[in-house]
Amino acid sequence: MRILVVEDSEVLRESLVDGLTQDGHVVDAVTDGRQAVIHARTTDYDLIVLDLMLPVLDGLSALRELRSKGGNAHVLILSAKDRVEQRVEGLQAGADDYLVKPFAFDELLARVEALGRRGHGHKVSILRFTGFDVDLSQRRAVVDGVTVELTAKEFSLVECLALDAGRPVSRAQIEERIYDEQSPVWSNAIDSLVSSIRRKMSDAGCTESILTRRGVGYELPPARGSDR
Amino acid sequence: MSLRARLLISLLIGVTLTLVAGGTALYFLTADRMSTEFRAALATQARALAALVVVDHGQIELEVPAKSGALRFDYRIVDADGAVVAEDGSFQWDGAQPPLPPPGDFAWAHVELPEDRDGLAVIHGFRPHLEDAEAAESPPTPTTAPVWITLVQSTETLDRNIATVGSAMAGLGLYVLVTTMVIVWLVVRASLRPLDRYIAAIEDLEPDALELAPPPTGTPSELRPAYDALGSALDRVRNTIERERRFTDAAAHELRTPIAELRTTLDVAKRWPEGERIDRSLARADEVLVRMTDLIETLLQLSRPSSDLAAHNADLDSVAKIVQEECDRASARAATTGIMIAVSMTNDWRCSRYGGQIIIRNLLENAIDYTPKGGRIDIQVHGNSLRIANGPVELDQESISRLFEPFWRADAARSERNHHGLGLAIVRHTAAGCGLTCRADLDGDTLVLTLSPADVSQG
Repeated sequence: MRILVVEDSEVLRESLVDGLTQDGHVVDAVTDGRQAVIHARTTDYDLIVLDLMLPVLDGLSALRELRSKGGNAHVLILSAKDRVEQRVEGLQAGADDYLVKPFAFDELLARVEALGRRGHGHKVSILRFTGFDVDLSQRRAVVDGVTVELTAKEFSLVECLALDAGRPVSRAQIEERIYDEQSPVWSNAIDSLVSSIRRKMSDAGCTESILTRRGVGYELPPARGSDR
Repeated sequence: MSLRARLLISLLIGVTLTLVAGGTALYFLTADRMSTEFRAALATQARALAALVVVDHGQIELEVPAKSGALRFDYRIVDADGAVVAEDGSFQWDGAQPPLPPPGDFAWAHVELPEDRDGLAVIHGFRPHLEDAEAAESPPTPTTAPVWITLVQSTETLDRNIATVGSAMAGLGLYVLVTTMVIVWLVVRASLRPLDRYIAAIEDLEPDALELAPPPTGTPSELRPAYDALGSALDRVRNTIERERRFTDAAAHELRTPIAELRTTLDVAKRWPEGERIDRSLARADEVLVRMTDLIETLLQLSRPSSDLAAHNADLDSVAKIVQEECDRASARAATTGIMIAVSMTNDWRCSRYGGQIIIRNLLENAIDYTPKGGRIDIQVHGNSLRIANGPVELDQESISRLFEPFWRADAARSERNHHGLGLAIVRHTAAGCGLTCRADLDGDTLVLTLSPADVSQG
């Protein structure tokens, strides 16, 4: 998923970026509400992890501005404000979830994954396709019960296609979702990743995984076991 | 001893003393009156008997025959020679015979009557008249020789009547005492019932809701001030608790962020334990712990009573000297953001060295943190004050009034300057303990903080 972390605490911001990146997400980070609004308007984020007590423009104002301008990225508020009325205010301002600091990083990952699924209409974390399964929470692809050894970037690509299974996804869309602003993207990077994934899936016994839609991009056939 | 018992005993002692004193006085007055009337009656009878004594041919005679039944008392008539002229009954003097009174007067004495009865004797001296026949020949004139009549009457009835009156009065006194006890007990109980309700109201106070119900209808006016005073005290307690609760809430909230930083850093390191990340996480954790330690030290400093600082107040030092030391200490940090610190000292004054260091250090750090890059901080020590001005600042009057509140920040974000909004709260707290006061004012867009001795600022 493409995630924007908005947090003014340097230590927390860096840890969040590090952890979410390690979990296979593409993460950008900013330190204040104004920058968050600007980034959200220029990039199609799946999720924004938003602190509330921010300099320049506070988190709630940024969220309201974002929603008022049609921004539909999922927003997960991360805040030390724990009172019910504060949580209600955050959710009413347009947040999809609210997590009180301090939090367990595993819980954050679970909520991030749940919000990612919800954004694509899935209610379960294991999506079943012909010949293989994609486990979004464990971030792995499984063929006949055996985990296919994919890199984080490869799995991000599989996840990107799996969440929109049944619909072709363009190379540009894939790039935006699996590469952050700082990462250099080679012209054939996506094609190379797809080839690598196909090879590994084939080695595991799944010969038909990612389909090529000429002139459009790539696609996974519709999931057969999800609750989409 | 309870108030109820004390009131009851006091009232009982008062009533008993009143009854005893009043009853005794009344008893003696009554007894005296009865005795006086008894004596008056006896004297009248003596006079009446004396009127019956005549002188017939030189012989003194009593015209009433003895033992006629007309006289109900014992008597004895003696002439001037002491010879008994007439007598009825027998009695003995209780002690020596009293001297005979002059004619026309009376003398009194107690006597013993037969059968061990007590009696009272009256001795009346008089001059008897001549018999009628002799009087006809010459005008009736009293004889010159006096005669004394002694009349005796038993005092048994008088004593019994006096005793009866005494008993009646004692009985009445006892009845009044018992009745008074009951009435007093009932009155005291009824009078103290509002106090019982007041105590019950206090006992019913819940620690979470220190609200005293208004005094019920019928509460005596004497108790209303107690309700008001307790209500006022509870208001102060509530305000203090609320202030402490807000402080604790803000302190806990302030600790959440560093804890979140620490936990997330460690969670990520545990989940992906790679060498470089472990090192980086440890360094971050160390940094967070230093900040948390600073925060906790600051909180502890604020939690200590201001009075604790008074122990350092004897160690006075020059304010100018402390300012210079703190400026030297802060100059390096100010230089990193191009801030100039200008110090002007005209008159020096002295304050607690310990408190002065804390106050001036916090004022300076606050000024450096909130002065834009390349800005200027002016410090003036003159008269009895220290003035620190920095700007431009984006503060309004409402912000100025809240500047010394713990955890209050003009910018709600923590920012990366590690500010918790406690610096100026510590300044005020420390100043209060050192007999100083700190005031904040806006001069255009310049924030001016003035420190001076409390008595000077009040004056």
